[in-house]
Amino acid sequence: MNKHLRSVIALLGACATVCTTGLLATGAAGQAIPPPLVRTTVVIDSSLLRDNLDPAELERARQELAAYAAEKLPNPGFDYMRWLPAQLQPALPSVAELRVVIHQRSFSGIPRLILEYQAFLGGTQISLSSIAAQPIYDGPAPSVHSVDRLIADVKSLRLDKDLPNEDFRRRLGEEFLRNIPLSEKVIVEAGKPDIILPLEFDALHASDQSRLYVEFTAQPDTQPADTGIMRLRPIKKVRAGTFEGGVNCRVYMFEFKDVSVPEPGGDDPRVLVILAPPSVKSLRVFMEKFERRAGTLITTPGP
Amino acid sequence: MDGMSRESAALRRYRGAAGCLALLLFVAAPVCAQMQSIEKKENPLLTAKVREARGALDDQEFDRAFSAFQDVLALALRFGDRKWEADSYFYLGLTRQQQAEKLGKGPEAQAAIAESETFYKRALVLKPDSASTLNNIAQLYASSGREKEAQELLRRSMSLKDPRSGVSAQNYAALLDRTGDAKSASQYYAMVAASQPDNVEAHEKAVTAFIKADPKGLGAYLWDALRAGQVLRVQDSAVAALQQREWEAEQRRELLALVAASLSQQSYDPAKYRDTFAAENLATFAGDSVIGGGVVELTRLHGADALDPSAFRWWSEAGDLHVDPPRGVWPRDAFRSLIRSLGNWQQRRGDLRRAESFYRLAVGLNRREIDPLACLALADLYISQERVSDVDRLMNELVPELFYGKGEAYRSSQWQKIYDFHRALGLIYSYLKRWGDSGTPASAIFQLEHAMDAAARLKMRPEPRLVDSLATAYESNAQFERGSSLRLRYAEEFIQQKDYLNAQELLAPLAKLKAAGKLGPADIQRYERSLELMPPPQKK
Repeated sequence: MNKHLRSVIALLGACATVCTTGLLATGAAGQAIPPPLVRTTVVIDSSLLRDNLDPAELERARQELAAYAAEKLPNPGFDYMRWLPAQLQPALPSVAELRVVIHQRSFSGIPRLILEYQAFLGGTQISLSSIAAQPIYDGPAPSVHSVDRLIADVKSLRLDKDLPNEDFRRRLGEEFLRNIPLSEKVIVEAGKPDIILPLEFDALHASDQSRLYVEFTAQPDTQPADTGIMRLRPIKKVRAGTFEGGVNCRVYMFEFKDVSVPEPGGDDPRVLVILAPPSVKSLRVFMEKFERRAGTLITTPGP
Repeated sequence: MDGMSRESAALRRYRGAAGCLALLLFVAAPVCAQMQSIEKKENPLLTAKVREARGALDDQEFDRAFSAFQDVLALALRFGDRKWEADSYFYLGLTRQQQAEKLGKGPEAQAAIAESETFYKRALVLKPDSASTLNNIAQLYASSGREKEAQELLRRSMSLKDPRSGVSAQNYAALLDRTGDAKSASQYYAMVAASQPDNVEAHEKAVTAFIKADPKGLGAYLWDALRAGQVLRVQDSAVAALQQREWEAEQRRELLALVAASLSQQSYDPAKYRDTFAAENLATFAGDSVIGGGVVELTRLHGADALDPSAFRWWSEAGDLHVDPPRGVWPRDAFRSLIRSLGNWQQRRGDLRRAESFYRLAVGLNRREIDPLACLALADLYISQERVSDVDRLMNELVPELFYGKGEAYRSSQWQKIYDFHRALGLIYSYLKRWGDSGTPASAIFQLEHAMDAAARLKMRPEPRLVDSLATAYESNAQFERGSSLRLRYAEEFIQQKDYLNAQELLAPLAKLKAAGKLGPADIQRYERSLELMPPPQKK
């Protein structure tokens, strides 16, 4: 074992009863970090539509279509993200944006309306290369005189086809959703093998067969900071204590310098030290593989 | 120097850890205060005890949980809290039930089951419509051989409007399966899978139950799932089903058609097909006497440079030319759909030459039954490249087969195909501005008029694009009255069906005609009456 690392283990093991990474401000009792907020927006960039519809109607189309996409996106699948259209609670900070862009291409004077999905993470556009832009109508766009017609067509001809399609959702998941960090902190407790994620266990719906992917930078000794990765299995709800309601996880895999926990996981005291402050410098948690919790018993009595 | 720096580094770490602890205490204090204020709205004693009890149950410390829930019950009785009285009984039942599951099948487990039933029944007296309690008692009964009673309770639970009753439906299916009624189980699993698209387990169990007890029902279930967008699951299930048992020839063809149809609804690089689950697993059927040819041709489609229809004879002949399939689509139609989809993929990435090859293949796959949708896709592709003369050439080349195919569809009364042929012909003639008239088959007006007749027979609402194209065709022939009359007729129909959107779409151009004095007095009257019948927000 690295000599510096060993000395730090001794040092921190002796003094810290509870160590956390990052700030604790939002990770306290009953205050798990809320699910990441993803905004849905619609951009209409078509002279055909601008010529036929007035600005208020175009704004209505933007809002209604953004709300429709936000309503359709959580299910089926990983429904932990909060999807909200841009116009709803605009003051809430969001981490990502899914933009539906309606633009126009003219061929031989025949205009075609194209629908394209664009993804933004922290304001930066990320590639959705596997989801191609598609025409809304098979042929030329009909003359659009009614905003209701436009809204109904975009819903039925594209959104209703794309959003429930398993292949589309897989691509959206791989290129976009999997890259949205669920948390930028984990909590480790001295002497306990579990790692706590300050997320809402009940809202996460993840079974213990799910995998969370964590990338981090740490500096547990005097050597320069280095990057590491780990995979976590969500095990159960944290029932009491400061992080009540959070997600108790077990290490499934860990890699940092010479510290390695191979799949399917295990305990290594060095892991906790590397993840504890002041060692950890930055950290981000992503959902890598999601499986929904299920069972034959209903464990809450209902209303 | 080294020693000093190490010492100061250690000191910094101590300070860091101490700071961390201080911060924790600082943050925790107001949060605890906040939690207390929330709890005061209920009953702090009760809330604390419930939390303790649930925590113990989650940790599977059953005796501690049982004792804590007894305390909750006592508090609920003391404070007259009827909800928590019922819920305490529920949790006491749940605690004993989960404990029994851990105890196995011995006398201790039986005692726990009996106790659990007693508590659940008390909960049910207080809350008779609890899907949770009904479901859990049913599970108790199911585990102790009282299947009939379990079924009855699960049926009751399923009938309640409670989102949790989906669990009961799946338990009911499992119970039916266990008691030997796999055929009914397959239906319930299918129902659960349809209502919970992310319930992979229900889908997999549905497929297993169909294969076991109702193999002929599997195709219908998978076609439904495909329509609901489960394209990957259907593809994998169809491939896996082929591997799991011996199927009759017709079903083998249907399962391969399902694979092709699900591939057609995905967006992927054809060059990567060989590495997919479908390709790898279908490869084992390359020598199959019934579907081997189809499997080989499927691989060929994704790899071939030259797309010659003669290389795809298995698919071109698969299915009956003269009748519609009993469900889903015929294999050759699924394959055509896949070819068009690959063409569309190439078109989107800008390889228009390759896209054209795919559309050409779909067009010519079976010249006795030309693909009108591929013809239209090809015409759309040419128009997008301003190749109007190629559309003209395409029509000259394909008109005999399009008319022959349309005639065949008429002879066998395949109305969907009749509609597709007229629609494609009408729209392509519109591209060529061959407006013609009602008596000229080689014209937009003739074909669009017949497309609308076919739509009426299919009880389809006429596509506004068709009505608009036909009206435009009339107007281009200076038959303004006919054009406006058509718009008014369908607008009135739409208004009658309360489909104001389509009505408005058709009425809008009439405003310009009216302003230009090209609308007769009778039509003006009908137009204004139609506007009056529109709800206020839609009026323009």
